[in-house]
Amino acid sequence: MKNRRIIVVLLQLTVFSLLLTGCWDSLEIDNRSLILGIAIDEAGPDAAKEEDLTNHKKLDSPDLNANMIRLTAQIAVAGRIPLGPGSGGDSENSAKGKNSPVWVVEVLGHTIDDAMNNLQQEIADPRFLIHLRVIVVSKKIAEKGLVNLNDYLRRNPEVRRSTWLLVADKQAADFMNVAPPLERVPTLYLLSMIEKSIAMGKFPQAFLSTFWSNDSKLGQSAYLPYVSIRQGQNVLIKGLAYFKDNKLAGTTTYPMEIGVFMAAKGINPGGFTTLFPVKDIGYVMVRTTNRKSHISIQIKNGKPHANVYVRLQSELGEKYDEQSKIDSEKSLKTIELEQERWIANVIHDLIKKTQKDKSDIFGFGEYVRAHERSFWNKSIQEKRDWENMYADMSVTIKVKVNIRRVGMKIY
Amino acid sequence: MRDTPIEVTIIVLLVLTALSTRRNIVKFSYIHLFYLPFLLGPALGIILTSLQNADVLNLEPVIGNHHTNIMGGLLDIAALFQSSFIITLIIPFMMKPEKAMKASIWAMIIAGMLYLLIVISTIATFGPQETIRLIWPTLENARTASIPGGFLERLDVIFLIVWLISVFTTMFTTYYLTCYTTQELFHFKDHGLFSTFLLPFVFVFAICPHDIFQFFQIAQWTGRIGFFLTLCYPILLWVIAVIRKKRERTCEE
Repeated sequence: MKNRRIIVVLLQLTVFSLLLTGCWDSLEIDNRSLILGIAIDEAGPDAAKEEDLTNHKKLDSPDLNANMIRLTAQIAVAGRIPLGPGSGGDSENSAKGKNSPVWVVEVLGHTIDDAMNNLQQEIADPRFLIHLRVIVVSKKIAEKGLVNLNDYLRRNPEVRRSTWLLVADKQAADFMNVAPPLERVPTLYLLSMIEKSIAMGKFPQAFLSTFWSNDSKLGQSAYLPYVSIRQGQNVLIKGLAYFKDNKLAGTTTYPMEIGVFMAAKGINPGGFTTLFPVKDIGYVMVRTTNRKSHISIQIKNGKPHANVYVRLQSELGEKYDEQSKIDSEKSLKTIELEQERWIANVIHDLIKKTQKDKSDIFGFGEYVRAHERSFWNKSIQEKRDWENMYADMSVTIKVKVNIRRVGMKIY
Repeated sequence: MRDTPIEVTIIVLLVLTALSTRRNIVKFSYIHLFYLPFLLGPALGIILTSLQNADVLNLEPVIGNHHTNIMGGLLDIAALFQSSFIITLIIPFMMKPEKAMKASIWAMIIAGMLYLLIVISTIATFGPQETIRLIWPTLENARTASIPGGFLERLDVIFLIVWLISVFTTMFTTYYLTCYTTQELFHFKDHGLFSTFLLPFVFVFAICPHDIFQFFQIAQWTGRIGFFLTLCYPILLWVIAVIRKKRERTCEE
């Protein structure tokens, strides 16, 4: 009896140790190709000649043949990714060359999955998208439409919804090679760049999940960060790239328009500073610290009308003119009034511009849908209806600025 | 997990459930009591953290925009509460059976609130149009939520654990209900025999669906049919009882 019990226990132990360790389909981290970033560019008209037919025969579809893409993937080299600030240390050498923590591979393809499979054909270890953090698409690709890319990313269970999708003004592939001294892994630099700009109030939260949600919403158009490379290795967040029907409809002209967009939507914290002239005082710079906005919708003559009421708290940053004085309630009031006018103007221009492109990045349609149900049900059946209505809706903008601090100096 | 054949996963889960159902009803209740906090706690945690991406505008208007199939949805949700019938099995073993009604109402409220919170947080995060596109909206919601400070960048691991526990408890409940009632039906002494006997049948049913779309359809219809049965059969019994009582009374007179 006692012997039998011991045998049963031993048998249980062996079975458990075989089953519960999970070694059955384990894959060590250094045998994986972890893709950190992807860049997608146009391949050009002659690309079909040099492609390797991995996944298909010669294609008949002129649409697929004309729109080939060049996918540049940044793969993490296991063991060379620096874990802390101190490990390794030779950031200059690691930028390019043998010690680089990442490996950049370029492939062609007709679709994203086609390119991904071509990539797998070229690299040894199985590719994984679980650590994919940033996807950069060139402006030309975005103009053609992101339907294929969105479909692939939505289907793939490995892709995080918190991945960032960026639109590059020129070559997207260049972003896979930027290696600024602050961070040794280029993609992670790109990522921290965007995440920090959100924390500083320089950009709204607009990762894949938000992009997709906005794209699906009937009364809102999607937008993405529009980025550019400066001095070969700096990344500039240039503005908002806004979409219509999954296609790039346009981009904002100046980075300051991100700030007024965030003001109109009341996204905190405030992070932009405006430089503008004030009568009798000269040029001043005022930094916004807190934004609040209230959007309400009225139906006037069968057309929606939006009232945007923006309240900003700000502080005085600098005064350019030596002679003028800022030393009274009255002078602050003049500056506030001038800034209110300035911001209202820029918001107005941005709305006009997006109305021309029929892309409602402010999501006024969502307010109509939420608060004017019967009007919405009557006149809007699909997204296109709202986009057309947005193009000729009227908006009243009211801005109230409150300068709370002037700094350490009186005059 | 991708290399693991789906049959193996199903068998492991089924054998575990079948072995658990051989216990008596007191142990059955205690197993549920043990898992309850592990279900409610993390689920509420996920809902709360996912609210950071929420937008109230997505929930408005509350009655929805265009015409929607509310009755069908109501039926499917009501069908989810079917396994609460297990309470009728436990009542005879209760120390204070008169409190059973109160307990089951509370159980309904807690489960219902959890369902409602999950739906609210998911729709508030994604908006109704995006939610329609997703096969597993709650899982996606957990994938999007992250605990601030880079501690946990995606909560789907926690969600999957919660989901697995809830799958186990649900299977455990329904399996136990089936075994116990079959045993009562055939006047057997022990329901353990049926738990082994049922295993191959349940397994075959489990591997029947070809794909996710077929599976959803089967799940919806079995839910609705089951709901119909659980609703109509007691009503039928009650009607019969009422008629018989009347007749009995007339006989007595």
